[in-house]
Amino acid sequence: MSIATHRDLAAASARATGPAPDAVRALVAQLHDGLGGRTAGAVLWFASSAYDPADLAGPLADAFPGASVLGCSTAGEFSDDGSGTGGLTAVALPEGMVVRSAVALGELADDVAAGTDAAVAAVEAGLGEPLRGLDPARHLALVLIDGLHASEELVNERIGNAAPLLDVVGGSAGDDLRFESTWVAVGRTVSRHGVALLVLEAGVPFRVVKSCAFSSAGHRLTVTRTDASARTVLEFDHLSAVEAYAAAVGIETECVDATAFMRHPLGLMIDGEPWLRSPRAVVDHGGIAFYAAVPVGTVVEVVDAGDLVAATREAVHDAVAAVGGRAGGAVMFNCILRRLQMDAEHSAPAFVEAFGGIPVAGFHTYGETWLGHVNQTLTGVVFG
Amino acid sequence: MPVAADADLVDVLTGLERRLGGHGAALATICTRVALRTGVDLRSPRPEQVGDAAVVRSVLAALSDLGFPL
Repeated sequence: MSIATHRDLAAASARATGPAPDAVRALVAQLHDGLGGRTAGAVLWFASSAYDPADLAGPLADAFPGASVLGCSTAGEFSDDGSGTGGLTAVALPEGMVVRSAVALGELADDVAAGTDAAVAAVEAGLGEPLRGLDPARHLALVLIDGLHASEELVNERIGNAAPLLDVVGGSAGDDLRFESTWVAVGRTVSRHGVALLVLEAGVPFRVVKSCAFSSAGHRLTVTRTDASARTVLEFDHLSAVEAYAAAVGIETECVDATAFMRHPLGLMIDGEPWLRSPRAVVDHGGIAFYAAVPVGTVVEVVDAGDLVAATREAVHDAVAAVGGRAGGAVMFNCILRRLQMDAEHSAPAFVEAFGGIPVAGFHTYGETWLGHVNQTLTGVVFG
Repeated sequence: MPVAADADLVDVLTGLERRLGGHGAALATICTRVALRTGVDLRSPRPEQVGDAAVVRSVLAALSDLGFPL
């Protein structure tokens, strides 16, 4: 199954492995070949944390002068050529597809809000106008966020406050499941606790993709006590979180483990669709720590898994149809939990095939963004 | 026209729709952002949330942060 692409305005995608100099050289060559002499307006690259980012950011920025170039570390990378770990992927969005863009790096280590606001201000300065005034039908924000400091909610809130009507899509950087250090890069500059923010004006239609392959099982839980600073729910419905979760899922409390969490995340239902909050671990006093904040008062529903690949294919097809039936490129952010499921099911090739041959690059993330922070989901953008 | 002090979520949604001038895509985006921050889906609130003063305050605060004070 393949999807029709715009040959004259298509993005270029690339995938490479090996030592940094060789991988960068191969990646750049593939991107330039795909661009066929056209100039890149924006380049997004995704790299295994095994690489030293200093060996990547500079050469990749230098290879695309004038373009907005940003990247991050991953928990695996994929393109239309395949999915793997230990390598590099990238997508170059050509001028024309990108009319104009601005990119900035925000440092989050001292003050997440201030660092995000600084990135927003720098992007606004680059564009010459406030994000709030941009036409959301033509403008889009892509964001790469440090994946280990639980900063995503506040980063998204600050960007959302500045650009409430813009689609903001992205992912949280990974480190190949070591959970030690992630990094993001803008141009030649690398941060180990930062946010990379790209805002672009598209010259083609675009559509956001969100796919999670879960549906409500009908059991509701209301969050009644939390440790918000630790993204931990202590009680659902005034019962210990683990007891209430076990009862809702239909298992013994002793069986609440990573396998149960993977199969039964919880969904915040918005307009009938689940926005997943994935449990991470059982913690002291019967609490459950999550990969996303779940505030007091939130009603979540137990969800059951469907077909990940089929749902991905359907979401991509819907997006392609929405942009006119032909796709020029895509950038995607896929949760590490979905990658682990794909690994177990040997379905990574089918996942890649679900993109129908669209020039795409993406990475397996420690969290996904669309308007806010979400778990166990594929988010992304398809350009027409 | 600001929403009344004793507004419920129906009043808030009406006020937001008026503020956005019937722009459906904008309403969907703002309601999603509010839901992700507060856990409240303004377009489809749980019955027990509709008149809960604390819930209404949290939604109004989120809307204010987003630049849509009501």
